[in-house]
Amino acid sequence: MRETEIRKSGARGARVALALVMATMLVVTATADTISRDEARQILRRVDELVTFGNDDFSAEYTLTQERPGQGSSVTRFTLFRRDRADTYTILIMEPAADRGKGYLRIGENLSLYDPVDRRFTVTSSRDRFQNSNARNSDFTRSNLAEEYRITGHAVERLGSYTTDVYDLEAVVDSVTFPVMRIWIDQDNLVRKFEDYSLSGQHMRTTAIPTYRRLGTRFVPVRIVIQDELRGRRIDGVFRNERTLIAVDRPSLNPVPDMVFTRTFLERVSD
Amino acid sequence: MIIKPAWRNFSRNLHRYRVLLLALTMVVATLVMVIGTVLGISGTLRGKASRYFAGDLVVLGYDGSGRSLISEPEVVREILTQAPAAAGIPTVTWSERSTYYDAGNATLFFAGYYTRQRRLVGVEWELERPILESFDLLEGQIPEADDQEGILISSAAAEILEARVGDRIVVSVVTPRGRSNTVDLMVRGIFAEASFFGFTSYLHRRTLNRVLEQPEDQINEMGIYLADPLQQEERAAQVLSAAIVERLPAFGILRDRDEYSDASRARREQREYGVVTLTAQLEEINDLLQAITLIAGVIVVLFLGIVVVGVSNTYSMIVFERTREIGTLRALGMQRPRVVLLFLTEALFLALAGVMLGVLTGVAALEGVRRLVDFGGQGWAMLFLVRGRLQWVLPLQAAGGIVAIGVAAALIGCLRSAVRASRVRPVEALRQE
Repeated sequence: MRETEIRKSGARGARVALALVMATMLVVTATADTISRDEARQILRRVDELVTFGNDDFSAEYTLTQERPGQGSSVTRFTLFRRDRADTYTILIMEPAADRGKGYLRIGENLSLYDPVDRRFTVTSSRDRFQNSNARNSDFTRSNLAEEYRITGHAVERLGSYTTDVYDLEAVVDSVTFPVMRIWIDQDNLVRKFEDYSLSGQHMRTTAIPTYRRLGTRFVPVRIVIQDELRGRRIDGVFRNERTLIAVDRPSLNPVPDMVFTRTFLERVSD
Repeated sequence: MIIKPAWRNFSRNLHRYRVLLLALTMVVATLVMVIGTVLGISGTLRGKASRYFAGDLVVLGYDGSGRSLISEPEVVREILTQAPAAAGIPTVTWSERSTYYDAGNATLFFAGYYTRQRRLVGVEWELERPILESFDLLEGQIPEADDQEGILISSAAAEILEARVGDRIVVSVVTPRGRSNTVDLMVRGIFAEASFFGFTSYLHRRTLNRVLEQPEDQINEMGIYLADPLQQEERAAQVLSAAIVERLPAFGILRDRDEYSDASRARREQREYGVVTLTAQLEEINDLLQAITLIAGVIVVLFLGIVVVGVSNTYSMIVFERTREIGTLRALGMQRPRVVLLFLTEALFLALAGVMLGVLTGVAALEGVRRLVDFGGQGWAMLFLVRGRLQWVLPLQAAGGIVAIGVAAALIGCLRSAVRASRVRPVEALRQE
C-alpha cells in the first residue's frame, strides 16, 4: 500500500518536475524572444572576448585533415600568426610539400594569397574555402559575432555533457561568410557547436569544437570538426559527409614581430 | 550545235578521260568535305554560342559598374521586335535574361556530389523555347512556361552529380551583396554538352533573380536570334544600334572583346545601351575558326592547282592523240573558234560529270562520318560537335560555288590545249601517222 503511494507520489513528482522544466524552458524561450539588441550584443561580445586576443599576438601550429569519403584524406600543416588588435593574420603553409611556402596575408578586409611558384600575390576572399577544405579563410580570423550578427531566437539544449544556450543568428553585415547561423554556447560562454545556413535556410555546414585550451584569460579552440552538409558520398548505403578535422598545437601568446604581417615576410620565408 | 558533237566525242573518248574523271571526282569530294566540315563546325559553334550568349546580337546596358542591366526593357523590347522586321531582317525570337557569371561561386550539389558552373542563365522558357528546343536533350524536356522550380543542366554536370531528370539539386550562389544563398530545383532536362558551353545551367529568370536577391523582373541582357545569322549579323547590328541611338543613350556596336571589356567598365553619367555581336563574343574562337578556314583555303587552292595541271596535261595528250581528227574537222571547214569551243564543251561535260560525282561522294562521306564516327569525350573538340558527332552543312551557295570552281578549273586546264588544237593545220594533221 505504502509502496503504491510512494510510486504514485513519485510519478506525480516526476510530472511536476517535467512541467516545471517545460515551464522554465518556455519562460527561457519566451524571454529569449524578447532579448534586446543591447543584451544580444552583450551575450555575443562575451563569446567573442573569450577567444579574442586583444592585446596579445597569437600563434599556433595547425594540422588540418580533410576527409573525403571514398577518396581518402589529405593533411595540411600550417602556422597561423594572428594579431587581433590590427585585424590581421598570416598563414604559412608547411605541408604538403607541393604547397610549402604558400601563404595568406589578411590585413583588415583584404586577404591575399601568395604563391611562391610564380612569386605572386592574388586577391582572395574570406569566404573562399581554405586549401579546398571545408574550412573557410574567415574561420581563422578573430571572432566578431557581436558586430556581425543579431540574435533572432533562443533555446536551451543539452549538447553531450554541456547545457547550452542555443542562439539563432542573422547577419547584420554582408561581409560574413554565412548569413544565418545557429550557435550552441556552454555555461562558460564558449561556442561548442555552430551550424551555418544559406540565406534561404539551406544547412551548409556544421562545426563542433569539443576542446578548448586556456591561455591566460582567453581560450583557444584546439580541436575543431567541420562537416560539410552538402558534400559527401554514399558508402555502403550510408551517406558520409566530407569532414575537416583541425588540431591546434603549441598555441602561444608570445609577441610576433611586425614583419610577419607583411608581404615581404611571405616572399622571403618561401625563398 | 556544238553540244552534240562534243557529247559524242566525250562519250566516245571516255576511256581517255577515266583517270581525269576519277581525279576530278576525288578533288571535288575533298572540297565538299573540307567546306562542309568547316561550315558545319562553324554553324555548330555559333548555334551553341548564341544560345549561351543570349542571341546572335545582344543589347547590354552599362553604367560603369561592369554589370549589364536593362533598366528600360519595354523600350529595348520594342526595338528588338520591331526594328529588324522593319528592315526586312527575319528573326527567330528574342531573349530577356538575367545571368550570373561567377565561376568560383556558382555550384550545383546533389547527393554529396558537386560541380561548379561557369554561368547560370535565367531565361523565359516560353520566349526562348524555339532556341532551347535546339538543345540536344538526352533526357527530359524544356520546362513549361511558368516552371520556376525547374533547371536544365548539361550532361557534363549530370555526369559529375550522378543526377537524372526528376532529381532535386541544390544551386548555391553568392549574391551581389556577398551573401551565400541557395535554391532547391528539380532537373527537368539534361542537354548533351561537355565543352566550354557545358558548364552552364538554365533556370527561370525569376528564380535566378530571387536567389540573387535581385528584383524578380530584372533583366540583364536582351538579345535577338536571327534566322540567317551568318548573312545578316552585321546589318542587323547596324539596324539595332541605329534604333537604340534614336531612343536611348547609346555607346554603339561592340565588335571585339577589348571594346566589350572597355564598354563595361567605362565611367558613364547615365546607363548607356549598345549592341554586342556574336562575332565579338567569339573573338578567340573565331581566330581558331579563321585558322581552320585558312587551312581549308590552302587545301582548296592546292587541289584546284592539281585539277588545272591534271586537266591541262591530259588534254595535251588528248589533243596530240586526236590531231588527225582535228585536222579532218578543220579540213571540212570547222573554224578555229569552233574547235576551241568543241574541246571546251568536252571539258565542260567532263567537269560536270566529275563535279556531280564528287559532290555526291563528298556528301556521302560527310554523312558517313557523322553517322559512324563518334568523337565523344575529345575535350575542346566538343565545342564543335553535337553529341560527339561532327555536323556538316553544305548550303546551296557553297555547293554552287564548288561546282563553279570545279568547272572553271577544268575549263582553265583545257583552254591551252584547246587553243593549241585550233591552231593545228589540216595538211600537217592529216599527214600525221
